Amino acid sequence: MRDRAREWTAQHLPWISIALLALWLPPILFRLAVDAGLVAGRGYPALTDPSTIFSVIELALMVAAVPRLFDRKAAGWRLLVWSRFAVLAQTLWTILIYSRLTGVLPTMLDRAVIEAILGLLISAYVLFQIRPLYR
Amino acid sequence: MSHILRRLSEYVCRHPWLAIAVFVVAYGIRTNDEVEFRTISAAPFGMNLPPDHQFLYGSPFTFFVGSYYLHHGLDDRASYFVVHLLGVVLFFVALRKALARGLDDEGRRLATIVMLSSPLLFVVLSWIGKSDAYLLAFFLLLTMTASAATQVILCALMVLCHREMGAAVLVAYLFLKRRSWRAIVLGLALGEIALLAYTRVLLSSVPESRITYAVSHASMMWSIFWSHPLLHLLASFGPFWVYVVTRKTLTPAAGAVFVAALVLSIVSQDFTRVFVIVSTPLLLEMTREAVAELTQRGGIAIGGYRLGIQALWPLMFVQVQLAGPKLLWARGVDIVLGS
Repeated sequence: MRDRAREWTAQHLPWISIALLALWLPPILFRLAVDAGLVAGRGYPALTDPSTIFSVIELALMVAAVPRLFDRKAAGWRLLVWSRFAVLAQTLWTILIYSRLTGVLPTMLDRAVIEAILGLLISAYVLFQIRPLYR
Repeated sequence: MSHILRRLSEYVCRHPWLAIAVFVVAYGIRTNDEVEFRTISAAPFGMNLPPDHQFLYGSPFTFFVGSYYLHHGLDDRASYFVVHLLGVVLFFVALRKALARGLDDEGRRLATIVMLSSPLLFVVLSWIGKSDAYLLAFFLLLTMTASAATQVILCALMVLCHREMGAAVLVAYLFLKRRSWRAIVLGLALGEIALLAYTRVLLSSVPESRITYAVSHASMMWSIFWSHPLLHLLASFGPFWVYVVTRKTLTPAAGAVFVAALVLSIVSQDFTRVFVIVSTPLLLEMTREAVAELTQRGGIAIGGYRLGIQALWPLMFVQVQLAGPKLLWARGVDIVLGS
């Protein structure tokens, strides 16, 4: 990445994180509300389901990272990296479950799995490129 | 008694959010297009609306966000609620940041009260269901960013929020500011290309446009305007007229933006909504001028008097809004006009 691109990314990363949280938080909160019996609904994973647990951890880490990202603190960057590890754990869990049901190859060709892997690779690349901009 | 009133007034001026909260209670929140939102969000690439509502496909931003939520477990009501709640929150965050630019805390508070003397807040709260809050938020963020890439993205998002109003706000901004025109034109073009690709290629059939809709209703809208021209003028800037008429000078660009906003709003169904949104760049500029006068001279000169913000803030509660043949006022008061 060029210096200008790095700087732009670091400058806008808190806003990008907020936008992603705006997209990702409501479905999880809705899922939790259904599970807690606050909202009517069926067919949602239980609170104890590992995919729900990993999602909650991922989003909690992102929420914690946002204020630190505004201040360009390394702690914010680290929290964001840990949130990607939560996604990695969730993706591995999904691959494990789907592989048992449909086999390894169909699972690896599944759109959701491909998207998750691509997302992880891109975010890892971007995060390590901008690492020097955080103190 | 006057001492208590003065204290109360000063307190409200120090805490504009209190005035906003009272405004929300007095004027309420009105929701729109819930069925259309559900229909488009459920299948954004299928044409499932009757011709007289197909123009909504020209403002796909909120429907796509809603579609994302629908396909990630939210039901249609929750999706509608979340999309528009986030829009209103983003609007307030962007407004706060845009008004704080170059001003101290006191200036920002003054700017909030002056800006909200226009029907802007009334419009945002009474058209929940439209993408207005997002459009305004993206515009306010655009006025703050120095990055050309971010400007391009925000301009494209504005056009995706509302093809015609998004473009009109950007043209008005260019007219007034003449800055970053390359990024704005590029963003506008990208937004238009994305919309063309959506409506002409990706959508199952080409929707009726807003222009077709406006032409079919033009004579009715004109007759309503012609029967009540003063009411329309009053419902354009609302109490913000106080700050407009007390300006020492009005630049030709500002005059042109005012006339263009007026013409566009006359031919549209929702007069006040369209006028206020299209003239937001003008509102922002005049707000800054009014704040400068309020802080430097202690008040706005009206006749032989100079009125401070403590005397002017109650004006924000004197709002009316024209929407087609309807006059909207405080919560529960809608009057149908004769033409």
